[in-house]
Amino acid sequence: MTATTTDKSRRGRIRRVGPWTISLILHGLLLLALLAFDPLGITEIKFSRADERERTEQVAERERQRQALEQERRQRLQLTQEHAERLKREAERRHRDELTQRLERLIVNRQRVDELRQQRLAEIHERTAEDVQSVVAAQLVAQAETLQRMMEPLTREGAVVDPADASIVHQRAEQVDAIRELAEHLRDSPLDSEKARELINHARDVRGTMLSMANAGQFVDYHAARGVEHRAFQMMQTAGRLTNEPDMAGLNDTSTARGPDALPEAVQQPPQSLSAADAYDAAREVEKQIDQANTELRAASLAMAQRTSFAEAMSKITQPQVNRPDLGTELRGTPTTIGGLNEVRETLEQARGVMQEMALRSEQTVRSAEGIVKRGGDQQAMRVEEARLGQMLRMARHGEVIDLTGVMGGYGSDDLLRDADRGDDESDMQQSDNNRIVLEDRTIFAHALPGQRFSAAADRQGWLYLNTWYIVGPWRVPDMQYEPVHEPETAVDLDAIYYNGYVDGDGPLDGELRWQFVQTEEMRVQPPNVRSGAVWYAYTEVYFEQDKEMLLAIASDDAAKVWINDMVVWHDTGLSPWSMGEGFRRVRFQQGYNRVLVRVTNGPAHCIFSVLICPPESVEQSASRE
Amino acid sequence: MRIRWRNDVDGQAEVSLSPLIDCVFLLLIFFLVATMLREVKRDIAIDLPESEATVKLRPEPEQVVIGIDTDGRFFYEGRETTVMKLLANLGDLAASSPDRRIRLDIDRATPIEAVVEVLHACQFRGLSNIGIRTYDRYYN
Repeated sequence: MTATTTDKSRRGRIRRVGPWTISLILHGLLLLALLAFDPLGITEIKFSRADERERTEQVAERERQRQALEQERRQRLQLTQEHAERLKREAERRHRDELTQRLERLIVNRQRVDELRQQRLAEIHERTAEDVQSVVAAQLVAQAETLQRMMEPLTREGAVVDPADASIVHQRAEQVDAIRELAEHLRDSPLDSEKARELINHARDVRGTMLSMANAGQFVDYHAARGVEHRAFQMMQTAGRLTNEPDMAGLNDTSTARGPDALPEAVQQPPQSLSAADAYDAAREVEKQIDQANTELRAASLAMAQRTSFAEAMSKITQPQVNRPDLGTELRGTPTTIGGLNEVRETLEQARGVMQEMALRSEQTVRSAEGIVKRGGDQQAMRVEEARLGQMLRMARHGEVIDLTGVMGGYGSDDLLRDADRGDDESDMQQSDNNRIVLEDRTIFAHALPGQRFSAAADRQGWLYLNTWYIVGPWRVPDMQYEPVHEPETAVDLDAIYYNGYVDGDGPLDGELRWQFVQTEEMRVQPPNVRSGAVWYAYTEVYFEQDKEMLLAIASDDAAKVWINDMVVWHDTGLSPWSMGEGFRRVRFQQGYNRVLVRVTNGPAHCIFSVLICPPESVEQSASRE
Repeated sequence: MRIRWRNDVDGQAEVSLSPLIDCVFLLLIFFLVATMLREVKRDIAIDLPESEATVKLRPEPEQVVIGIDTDGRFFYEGRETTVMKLLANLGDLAASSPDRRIRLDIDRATPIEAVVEVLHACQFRGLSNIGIRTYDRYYN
């Protein structure tokens, strides 16, 4: 009985205390767990983008490694020859349409370039002796004008050390006037060899006198006298070409033009049976043929423009050397593993890309060729005037302003050119003696701003500089030659790729050139990859709300040639350091977008150029304030 | 024995709405997908940059999208283009609607020269309504 009572009381105590005790123990354990393990005590989740990115990269890296291992395993899997050939044919079939289409584009473009080439060569055959001599006579007129300009300072008072010698100089100046008259006569009658000989005699007298007097120290300005002597000598050489009938048979001989070879045999096959390797090799061959035809077309145009023989013109033209990878050999092999098959697929992709590039380049060539032929119609008149204008531009003095507004907007009449030459018409600069401007470099550096859009309401009316360009180059030009003519002079195509550029022996330049966007912080622009004896082309556009005459200040280290809307406005030859006020042109810009092309040639060391623009009235106002 | 249906008693047939709702949902999904596809078509595969100081703008269906990838290649409305074509397109745009919004989609690793080139081309042609798209967790 007692035992029973004891058991009951124990059970009752357990029933009464048990749940609380258990609860307490559990809470205690939970508390201990919370205190002991930090992660269980976290009440918020922090998100770190950096950690997340790192974890993502780790996962991605593991996945890449896994895939690489899997790839490696698959690459080693062997294929039977039959299976491999079937898979290769399947891979080629997927690309066949694109490859054949690109090949067809190349063939069409080859045909078009060849037609243009034949058209230009036919024009060479039609040249007459008078055509050829008229260009020489035009050069003679330009040289005579320059000679007169150079002679004029030597006839001024005080130009000779001993006043007694002035009469001799004046006699020679009269002979220079006679030379000018004879040159103009020859321009109208280029086959009059007697007058050409007369001109040579006058030039010989002038040259001899200038040389002997300069060497004897009888001129105050020795270099000016030697300049006249040198120019007279040049005229003797030029006029010498007019004393004999030109060898028209030799000049019009185009037998060395061989044209493109026959199309590759593979092209004759139906497209369905053309393998990728054959299509690629045929495309390479056709591309070479297009280059050959285009080179001959350019040579024919140069021969027409300069009235030289085709063979001589060919020697001045560079033919692009395009080194395309030899993918045909790789494509002809049969893969033995999955890895080899994948390589074939990659090669096919590469071939597709290269052929696309070939097709685009051929279209660019066609555009360029059509541009050459299109301009051929009025080329003679254009070149005659260009010769005269170019001569004038080359002989402009440092800091001199030349007004070209009379000849902008197309090639004008002789009267307009003469106005431009004199620079003394109504629109001429009035603010300084001798039509010259002297720029304060520090002031211009401090105040000039970049700008390419011009409006009458603009706050800024001072000097602006062009700092944004597309530049391509370098091409190698030994001895600062201006020939040959490179592609950008024919047509500016910012998507074009040229393969005849500068090649370093062991440097980074491999001859492949692309237009690069260049924006500078200051007015001086340095072309990329500067090399000695090289040339670059820079292209940009300027916008005018309305037709406007502006003053251009162009400077370069070393030589430069500038075209605005395809017209030469600046032609500086020889080696010279950069000088902001090297020369000025007053030019007329058209309403809308105007094209500006600069050719800058580097001798040794540095190469920079700058183009500044200013409304002429601003310069006149500042001059009047002074 | 003739069975009398309840409908017969009412004398009116009921049209089930289920097919109609199905059609409405299908149309809704179609337009949703079509709209998204139109937006995706102009996007290119790039990793957008992040910015703490962006202004959220309501998307304009008429906006022009110019993309530049990590290699500096240009895309106009989602299609790869060349410099000459891009300049021509911008010239046409400036002539027709100079106030049209232009959105630049640029990868965080895009060479800055390419961005400057496009910005200059727009600015030179008088196109000034330009925005650069940045990463948005809800949109991207």
